[in-house]
Amino acid sequence: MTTAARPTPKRIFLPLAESPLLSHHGDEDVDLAVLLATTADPEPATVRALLSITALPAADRIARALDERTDLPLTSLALLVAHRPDAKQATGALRGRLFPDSTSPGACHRFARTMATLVHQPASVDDAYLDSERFRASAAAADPAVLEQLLAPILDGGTLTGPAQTGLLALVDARAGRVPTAPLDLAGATALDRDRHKQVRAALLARREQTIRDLADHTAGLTLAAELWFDSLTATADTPAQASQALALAENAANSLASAEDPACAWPAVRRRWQHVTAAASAGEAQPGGWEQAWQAAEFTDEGARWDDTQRALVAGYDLLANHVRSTWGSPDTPPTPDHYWAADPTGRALLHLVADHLTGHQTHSPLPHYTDQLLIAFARGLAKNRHDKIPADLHLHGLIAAIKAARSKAALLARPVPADLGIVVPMRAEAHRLTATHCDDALTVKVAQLGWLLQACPDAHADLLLVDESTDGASARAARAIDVDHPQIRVTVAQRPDDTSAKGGAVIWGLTELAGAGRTILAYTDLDLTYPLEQLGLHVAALDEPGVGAVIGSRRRPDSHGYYPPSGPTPATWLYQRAVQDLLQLGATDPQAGFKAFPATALRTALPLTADHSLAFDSDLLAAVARSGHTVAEVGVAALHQYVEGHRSTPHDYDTMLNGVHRQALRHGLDPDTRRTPTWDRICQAGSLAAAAAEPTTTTMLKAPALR
Amino acid sequence: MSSPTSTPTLGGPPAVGQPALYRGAARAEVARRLQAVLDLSDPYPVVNAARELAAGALERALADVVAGRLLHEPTGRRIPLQELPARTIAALTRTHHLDADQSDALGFALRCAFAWPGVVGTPDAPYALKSVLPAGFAPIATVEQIAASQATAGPDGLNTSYMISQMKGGMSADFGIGCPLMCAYCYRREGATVDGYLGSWEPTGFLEPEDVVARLLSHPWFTAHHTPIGLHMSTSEAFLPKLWPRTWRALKLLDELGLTNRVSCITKYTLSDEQIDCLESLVHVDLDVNVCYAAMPESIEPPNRGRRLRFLRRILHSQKINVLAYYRPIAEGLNTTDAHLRHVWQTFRDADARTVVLGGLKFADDHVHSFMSYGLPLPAGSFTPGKKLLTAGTEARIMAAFDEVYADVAPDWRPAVLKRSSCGRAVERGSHIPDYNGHYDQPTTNCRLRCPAAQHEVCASAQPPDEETVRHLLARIGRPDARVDITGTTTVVHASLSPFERTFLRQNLLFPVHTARQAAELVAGRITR
Repeated sequence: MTTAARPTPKRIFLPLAESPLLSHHGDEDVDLAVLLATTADPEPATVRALLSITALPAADRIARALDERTDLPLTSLALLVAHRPDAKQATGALRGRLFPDSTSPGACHRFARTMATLVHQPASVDDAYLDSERFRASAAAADPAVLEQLLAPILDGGTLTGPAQTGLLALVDARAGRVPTAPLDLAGATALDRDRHKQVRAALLARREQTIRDLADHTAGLTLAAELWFDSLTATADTPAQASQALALAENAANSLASAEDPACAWPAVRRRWQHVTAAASAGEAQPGGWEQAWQAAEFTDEGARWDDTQRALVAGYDLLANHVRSTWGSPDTPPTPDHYWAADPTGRALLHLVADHLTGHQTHSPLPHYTDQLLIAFARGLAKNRHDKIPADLHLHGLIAAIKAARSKAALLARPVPADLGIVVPMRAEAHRLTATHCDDALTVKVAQLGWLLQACPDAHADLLLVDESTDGASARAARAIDVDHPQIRVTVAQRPDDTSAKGGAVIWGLTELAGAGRTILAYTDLDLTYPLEQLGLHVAALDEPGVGAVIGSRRRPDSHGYYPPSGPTPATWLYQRAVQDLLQLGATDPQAGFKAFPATALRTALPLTADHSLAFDSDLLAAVARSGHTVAEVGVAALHQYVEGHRSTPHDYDTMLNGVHRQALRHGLDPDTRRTPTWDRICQAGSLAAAAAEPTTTTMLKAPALR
Repeated sequence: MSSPTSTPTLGGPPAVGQPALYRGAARAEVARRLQAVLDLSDPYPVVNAARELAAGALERALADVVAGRLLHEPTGRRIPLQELPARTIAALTRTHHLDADQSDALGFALRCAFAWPGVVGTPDAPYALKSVLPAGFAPIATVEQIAASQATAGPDGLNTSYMISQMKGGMSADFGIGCPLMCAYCYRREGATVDGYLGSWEPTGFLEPEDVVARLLSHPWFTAHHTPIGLHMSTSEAFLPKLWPRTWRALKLLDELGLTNRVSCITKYTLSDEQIDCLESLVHVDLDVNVCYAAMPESIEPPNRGRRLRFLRRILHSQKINVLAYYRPIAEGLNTTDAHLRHVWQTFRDADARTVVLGGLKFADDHVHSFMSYGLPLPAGSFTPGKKLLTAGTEARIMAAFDEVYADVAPDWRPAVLKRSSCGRAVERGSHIPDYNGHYDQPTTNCRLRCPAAQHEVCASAQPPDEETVRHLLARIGRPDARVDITGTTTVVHASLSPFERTFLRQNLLFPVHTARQAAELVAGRITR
């Protein structure tokens, strides 16, 4: 090939203003516009574009051409009349559409022009005419369906300018009492009401960003509580006086927060939200350091790209957690575990809480409204891959994903219109060793700390934590009682209820019954180990707030779950067990045995009497009872703090015994083997055990294609 | 091709002096007879044969074509048919004082010196579906079948069943789908099953070049010598080692057919000197190579930068290949710091770039999902309704950085900088034809960066088409009876044209085409400007 340089050719460049492209076609453009006005399909967009030409004489020629047409649809007619009130033929045609009976008293051109103007040129409406008896007569006589179609642009959510509001109000008033109420009148009233609210709140809304930014100066940057407070303030301001009062509160909010003054607000919902703001300020003060530095460092990537505001807190959190692991992990001989790092260790736990708090909203930026948890989990993994980080056991990822779940949980709890009133059962059997603090906090202290962090944002929320020891020696209960836990929003109760016939189920059912009896409205249970972080209980609560939900499972097996299983997922036997439960009890849940569930007390009151199983398989009995009593069983994905070890099984369950229990539950809940097939259960029975059935090669039955004739 | 030019015998009437070359019923037969003696390696005997049918000034003009070898560039390449009016016919018309009919006859005679393969076009009716197919040519499907397949193209225009798609860059001839370059922003992805970014999207199962060229020739939307072609433009990367043999074979096939269509290859890859030599050996095909570089982070655009830029420098030195520096994709927040902008211009300056095209990132809503899945930073404004990833402010900063980097170069010797690829391709070729997408209808939007005055002149002089041509084209998209207004501003088609139909019409007419509504908006904008 030729290697000599090929020079850049000399080219002359002129300013665009000197381009011949700008200097020709003037007359041709006008002729084309007139041609289109004469012959093009007169759809509103085309007519609107043509009427936007105001230069003379082009505008006159276009208007004349349009006025001569007899095929303009209603909206195009109105556009023409509004822009060119002198368009006689069009005005007559519009009048004809509005008043099919041309002899009707009130049928007039001026009303037709005014209605067209009201929609498309409201500033030109004649107020004096709106106030006249002639207008009122016409308003009452006009075809309401045609009027509604004509006024659609201002009735369907558009912003009403002052003159448009005046005109619409005059129209609605003129018709009121004179003619039967039509859809037009309802739509008009709605539009006026919507507009009134907008106007009343306009000044307040204009102050939103500044107010939240000012408040964030006193909350270490946390903004979710402030945003919710401001929204409640805005929703409450229904009159100009209320809006003025709300605006004054907004303007003084940062000062009130800084001086810990009560802002003297009479509205209960707003007062409650203000408590949350003050709680955020307290939380901000108590936070460990490091966030601001991480936030600043997370502005750009190494290649100079800027992280989007919705991603930046995730990156800052990732860096904080990764640096913590790097700086604290000691020996490769002592494999670290997520539950140790992010739950039992107070420093790691505090760091996770710090990250989670800022994920709920830092300077109004949060990833939570923009992305699903499944996508956030994928982002965390993708980020780790791109960074080529070698962090032991991906501890930072477990931490970040648990922080994401905790953040969504806390945000959901904070957004509720009423405070949470929780009752949580923790069954125990021979678990005193978990309640002994050695290098880190004991399990009870951890659970109180996790729950305390969750409730901290809502000072009006409370929880009962009921630990039930069902072993006969009472060692777990004694160990629990020996721990000094104190939290203003959490009451810890330790109960000893020896029961040799129970395996967890008895303790849980008894505890739920006690807490429901004590008036708690949301009930939950979880295990004493640290696999299920209580920070995530808000996910359950949010799901319970959906209509009809009677139970929520904190699933380890959903696409947005994380941490419990290795990347390959649960074993075939686990899935087979789940399918058998589905067969027998018609429960569509992915994880019926998960040890982290919640219920509304109302659902439990009808479901608990229907349960009888106190064994390890009690979960499915309770879920079936909830479903049988007419409720939905929902699931949320949780991030378990669990270190999967290949081949290791944390609890030596006898799944065949449990499955037999599920079969008995099914019969009790109405399974009729003659009328409903249970192929998975049958397959397990045929194989002799769950393990044997899971080991069988799977086969696919091919349906034979019908023979060709 | 440089063998002595001889004059074949046409035999029989029409006789000298009769208006055989002029517009009229006889043209079809004349074309057939002139074409029968066409030798692609030496088209001048056809011109000499046409001289036998001409007289006076027209004959002298044709004689000049032969004497001056005016169908070829000095490098030996054929002058593309589309550029003949500007580069040959206009000068001869002036020199020999040809009237309009004579000039038209000259154009017809010269069209006879080009090959017309495929289902569309003859020298007498270049835009019409053929009534008689070339001997030995069998389309791989009927026009109706291909049109039906075209109607199944997705909203992005990609026809995954026929693999020939009408795009703004031209007719995209795609051999298959798949690219291993792993650009995160790739807009051609395969949903949840295959993920290009994760490197699992290997190009496999690609069509053979012969099949692709046959599909092109059978397509009723493909016009010989007029339709811009993009090779692998929509679904892969033309210069991947795995695809290069197919790319090169397809180019050779098009060249051997005598087609002078513009062909574009867009690349983030590279070619060896030997491969560049191959491209330089093309005689008919009017190739342009568009090398993308925008300093995009490598985590987002992994193809090797250094190798790509060395390739850009080498191929820009080719005397025969049109090369555009593609400054794209630009995405707010990802590659728009001042340092990014200066670096890109300095890189282009070091490479001696002549023509640069700017382009923002095409960023669909589902890209948010994939960028998040990959753990990558999102462009700024990803959540803004009607998002624009190359804002006016950034465009101004880009041009300010350009001025800074080229401060010591005289303005007339600095590169052209265009907003549209089609404009860049016209400018790089010497501004002989208007922008083939008709962007000059909105000059304040499209022509405001650094488009040479010569291109402004050419675009401003674009002539409205004749009705017969428009009718031929409308028939090819199944709208033979659509109402049309041909004006000096635009061609208005009173029908609900799809964006792809409109592109097809514009690229053939080299003139703006609008629906009635679009035309109203256009003139409203221009009159009130």
